[in-house]
Amino acid sequence: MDYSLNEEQEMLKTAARDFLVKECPVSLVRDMEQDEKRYSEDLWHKTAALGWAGLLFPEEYGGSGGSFQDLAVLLEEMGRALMPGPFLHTVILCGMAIMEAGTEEQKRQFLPGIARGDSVMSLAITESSASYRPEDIAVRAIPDKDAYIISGIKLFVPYAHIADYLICAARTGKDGKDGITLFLVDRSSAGLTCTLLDSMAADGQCEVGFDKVRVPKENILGKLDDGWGLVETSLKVGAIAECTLMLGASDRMMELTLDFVKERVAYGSPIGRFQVVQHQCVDMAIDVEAARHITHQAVWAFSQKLPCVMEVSMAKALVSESCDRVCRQGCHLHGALGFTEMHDTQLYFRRVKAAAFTFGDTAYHQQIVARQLGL
Amino acid sequence: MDFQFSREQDEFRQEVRDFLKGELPEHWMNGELYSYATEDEEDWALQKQLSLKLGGKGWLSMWWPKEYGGQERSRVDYGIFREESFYYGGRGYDAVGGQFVAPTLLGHGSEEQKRNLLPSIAKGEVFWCEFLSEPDAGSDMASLNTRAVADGDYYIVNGQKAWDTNAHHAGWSILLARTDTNVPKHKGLSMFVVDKHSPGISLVPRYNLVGERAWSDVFFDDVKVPKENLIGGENKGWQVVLTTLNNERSIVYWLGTCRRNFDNLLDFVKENETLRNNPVIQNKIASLATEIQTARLLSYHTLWRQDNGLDISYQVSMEKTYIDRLLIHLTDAIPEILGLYGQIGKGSLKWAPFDGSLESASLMLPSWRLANGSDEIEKIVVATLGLGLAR
Repeated sequence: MDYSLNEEQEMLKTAARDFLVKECPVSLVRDMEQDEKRYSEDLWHKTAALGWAGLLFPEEYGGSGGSFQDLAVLLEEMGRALMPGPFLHTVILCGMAIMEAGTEEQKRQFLPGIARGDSVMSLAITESSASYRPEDIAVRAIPDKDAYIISGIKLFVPYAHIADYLICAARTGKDGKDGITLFLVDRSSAGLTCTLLDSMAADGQCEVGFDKVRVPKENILGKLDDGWGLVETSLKVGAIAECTLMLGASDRMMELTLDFVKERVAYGSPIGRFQVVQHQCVDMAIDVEAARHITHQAVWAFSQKLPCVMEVSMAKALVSESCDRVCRQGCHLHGALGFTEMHDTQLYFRRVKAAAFTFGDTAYHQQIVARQLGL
Repeated sequence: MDFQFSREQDEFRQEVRDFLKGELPEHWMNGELYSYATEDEEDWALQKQLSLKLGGKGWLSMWWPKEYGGQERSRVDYGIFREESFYYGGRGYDAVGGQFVAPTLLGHGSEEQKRNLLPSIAKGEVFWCEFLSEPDAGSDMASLNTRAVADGDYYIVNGQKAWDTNAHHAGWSILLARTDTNVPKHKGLSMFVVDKHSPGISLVPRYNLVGERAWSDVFFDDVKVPKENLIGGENKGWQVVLTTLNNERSIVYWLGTCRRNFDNLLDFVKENETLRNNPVIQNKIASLATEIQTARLLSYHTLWRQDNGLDISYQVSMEKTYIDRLLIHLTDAIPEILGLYGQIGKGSLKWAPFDGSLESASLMLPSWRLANGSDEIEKIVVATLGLGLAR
């Protein structure tokens, strides 16, 4: 049993925090919310130059062969800094899916580009049903000679508008989970359209229309009709990653709130001297601490390649609630100021609230836990 | 990071479970909250026998130095024993002696006191209680009024203590009393060890709302306590009791109780088709399981910190407060899941699920929020020591 980071991870954490304080200030976060691209290409390239984008990949594909635990250290810092951009989607979801299921050729085609920061990718799973269930995948791919023709609409696809490639889950066979195939789709393909959505976290979510988009057969990722397993892994990784991001953001929210209650004076005293305020701060601190341990457990179990369905769903179920509560309470303790556009607290609140239901909300993951318990 | 117990630790946990399953009669295995409260002499005699066996295994002194009868294993190892013991109701396990008194003596006792008092705790020969709270000094413990006045080789103690767990079975107790009335209240306290059978000590039982003798009120009438029983020096009692309290708040044993009651609830749900298929109940169960796992991570985190020489002054209060929340959620879930059966106690065994242990838990678990420091007090500790918020 060991609750500490190793020495390299501590160094990575410090380096990442220092870098992000300098390169990703809240002013940049705010600017990117207004920017059509929703991310800073400059920052994207700088993080790639630091080796973040290739951290997970083997050296032969331009990476440094780090562990998922190492990556989670970075994610926590990105959450803290509210770093905008498609890191989670490109590096973790698409990168890991290609690493796991890609052919040698696909790995060579995509991974070094991601590691260099030259490529942006996103995973297109969800549709208008807004569900993560395999039976709700309705976008179709129909074989046509050496290609497939994809038609339908994907919804809530993050950063699709700036992606070079999408990994799209489409129905190629029968209903249910055994008829789904993943395709690597060039975003500039004829018939593919992207519309940016006004989403609460300003995280570049798009509606992606497929109007008879032609995708060569060799762009199938993994096996025909057998893509759902990969999607399930992605959902699991996505859930852990969102926990880590929420944890980082809530940690920072806690600091902002403590700073504020120590400064703000009412009735002749800093409000942080009032027990009623102190107890709310402690409730927040305990929520953050609980989120930290349950998240780190999930990160560790996944990184060790242990069976971790239970650990991941417990983490997402708990963190979604507790971090949302932390951010809401942090805003509350700032008074009405906490709910204004001008104050930074709202940035954390909006992101954590969105992350709470991304890759499954509390109830969704409680159902998974219940099944694991034999119900 | 490593969230796995070692293979040896897993094996040890299993060894404790197997041992207790072999020793405990079936009806003692529901994880009742107040097994020590029994006034049945036969029951207590069995618990005393079990205590000697636990001592014989070396489980009561796992993390102490060998010279005082310990095993020099880790706090985490001892936590495993504490958790598993309470899973089956903590029968025969003197939590007060092992968890609260022993670390107090190890931290503040003289060499002679450690050599005299610790081995009998290690062997499971003596049960302990604590004379700390008073009718007018609970959370504000430093305002206590029981006096200890030096007189030759003795202190003469007069006053009243309250909420004394297991006092009716204990042979010895620690006692916090006022030795100086002319200094600020924290600075005039001293800690003693007291033979509970000393002349002048008398007990009045306090029954909890399910009729168990959970506590006693204890009266001191010119009780003579030898000067060598002073722990940590005269007027140093506050520092000493902080060690006691920090160890009380390390709450991994309650986790055993929570797990046992949860497992009973889960069994009840699984055996009832309507409940089993109800998503609201399913999510309630999942939520409790998640909280229990989180509480477990928090509990072993503090133990791990202690093993590594790290501060636990406010971390342990966060742990305790988190478990306090869990207690309430567990309490709420009991009637929600058991429905009308939730009201049947151990007096009607024919219809009482799990021998009435859940009925009793649903009424008394909420009181544990007050034990070992109420969550309001714990929050003050976290706010001031952990978050830097001024009082």
